[in-house]
Amino acid sequence: MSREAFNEYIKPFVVLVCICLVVSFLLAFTNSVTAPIIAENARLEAIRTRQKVLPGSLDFEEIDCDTQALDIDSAYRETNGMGYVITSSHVGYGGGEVTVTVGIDNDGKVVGISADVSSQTKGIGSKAGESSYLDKYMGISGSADGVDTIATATRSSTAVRQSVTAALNAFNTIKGGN
Amino acid sequence: MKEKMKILLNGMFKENPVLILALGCCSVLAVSVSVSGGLGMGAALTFVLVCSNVVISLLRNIIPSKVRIPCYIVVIATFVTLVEMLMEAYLKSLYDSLGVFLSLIVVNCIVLGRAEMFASKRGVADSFFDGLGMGIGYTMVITGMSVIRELFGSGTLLGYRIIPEGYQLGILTQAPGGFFLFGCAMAILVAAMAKKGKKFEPKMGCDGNCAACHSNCDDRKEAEAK
Amino acid sequence: MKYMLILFTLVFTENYVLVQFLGICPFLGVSQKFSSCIGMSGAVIFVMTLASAVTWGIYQALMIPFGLEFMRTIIFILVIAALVQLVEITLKKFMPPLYKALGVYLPLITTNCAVLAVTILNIDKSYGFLESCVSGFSAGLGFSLALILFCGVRKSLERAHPPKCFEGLPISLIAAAFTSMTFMGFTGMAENMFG
Repeated sequence: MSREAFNEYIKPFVVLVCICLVVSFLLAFTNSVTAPIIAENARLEAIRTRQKVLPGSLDFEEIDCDTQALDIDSAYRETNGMGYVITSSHVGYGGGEVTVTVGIDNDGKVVGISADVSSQTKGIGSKAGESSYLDKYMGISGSADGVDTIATATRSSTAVRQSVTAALNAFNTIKGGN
Repeated sequence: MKEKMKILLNGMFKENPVLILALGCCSVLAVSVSVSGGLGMGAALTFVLVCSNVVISLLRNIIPSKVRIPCYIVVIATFVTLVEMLMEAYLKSLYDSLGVFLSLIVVNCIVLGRAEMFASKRGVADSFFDGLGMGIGYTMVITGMSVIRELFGSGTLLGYRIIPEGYQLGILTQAPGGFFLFGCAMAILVAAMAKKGKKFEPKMGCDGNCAACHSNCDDRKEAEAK
Repeated sequence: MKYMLILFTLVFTENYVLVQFLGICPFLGVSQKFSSCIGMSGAVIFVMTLASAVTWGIYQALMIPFGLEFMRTIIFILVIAALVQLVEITLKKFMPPLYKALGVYLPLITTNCAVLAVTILNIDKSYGFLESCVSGFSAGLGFSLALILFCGVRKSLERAHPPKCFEGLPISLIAAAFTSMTFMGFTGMAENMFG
């Protein structure tokens, strides 16, 4: 093969492939370093959220239950028997999910609630994640039907209410099973 | 050394990528609602710009001109992904506040434009200073805008309350405020230049057409120089 | 209903250009002539829909099984670049009239940040295949709406005489601010219509 043909067709291809290979290794290496840290951060963040919604709690153990049937993401029991923390997500406005973490004491009363509304419109749907709205759920038990949605953020606040309802129902099922 | 200084200052003032060349304005408008976001975005872009400039300058004799654009994109995207991963691991809240705009550094016209216009032709040291200068120029504009938008829009600076609640211009943190402020900043610059006796007409760099930048801008500049 | 909501949201309330600041460069650069606005709009809608579909497929079929999610940015931009080239070649060969209308605008799309953004946001919002396609199409439609509207605004600006220092780009940006303000009026409407 002539030198020109090599420069014309083979060299560009080889160079591009080489660059891609080097780049892939570099990124894979960085990923192997950062991935565990990211996972660890997410785990700590989840623990912090659980401790926040169940005041005074320290350690949790995951409850083995059919999360799909209960319409929840996860359920945890405080190891000293202070209560339960149940996380549930529902689709809010524009297809984004609202994730709600609810702390429930042994009597089935909501003692703490936290909502991740980062997928919702800032200033409108995000109102459903502010404490002025979430506080309305404090102290309720059995059903969340008594709490109204926000008129200007119907979808986002409906997602919050659906999640709280799912959490309360899941609590009854888990508690009934014991 | 004097020449390096000139390259550095060129990016910061004379050819400021955002205000003079009107490049990469998407992220400037979107992220400048908070000072921390503006500083973070500026740092991320400067890092990517310096690294990609240096690497592309190093490889400038190896990369065949036929595949140079894909090569540049791969190099730039690598550094962007590196920044993304490191930021998610160590600065999670900043990562969340920058959102999709961190990934979008890949298609930021400044980075690809400098790779094509500068780094592919000049030495490593020159390219380093060019990247640094352009990055600092970008950071200055985005930080300046974010100071105004956060102070008057939310009444805070870096999260600390300065103006009591109830006295904010909320619109500044919304989209229209961003456009408005950017337009005013440009007009002030034009007025200041006019006062100094320099005529300056802000235009979209290469008509907002980054992909054609490599063929257009250079030739046009060379033609103008002659 | 879900699809209608995505469509309405991305065209009006969360318009990529005027509310989310995506794709500002072509928005300011191309909006001077009406004919080029139409060409650019067609090209963007086409490429965004196609890119949404293709990147969704690649992400689900190749990247998740092999644990390559961290390479998302780099793979998506290369896919978009390749896709644009492919579309250009195909149109040139099989549909010359369409190529004539869209051709010049196609290469500009690779570096249009709205295209990369829509593919990344589809993954972030964990959309399904159809939802991704609809979202790509609607985002393109929203981009076109903003571009064409703003083209009209710019036509009127040509006859206006702003202060000397505002001439050109600065006054266009101020006009963009007001155009974007009108889009704020749609907020909340989508909820009442499709909620």
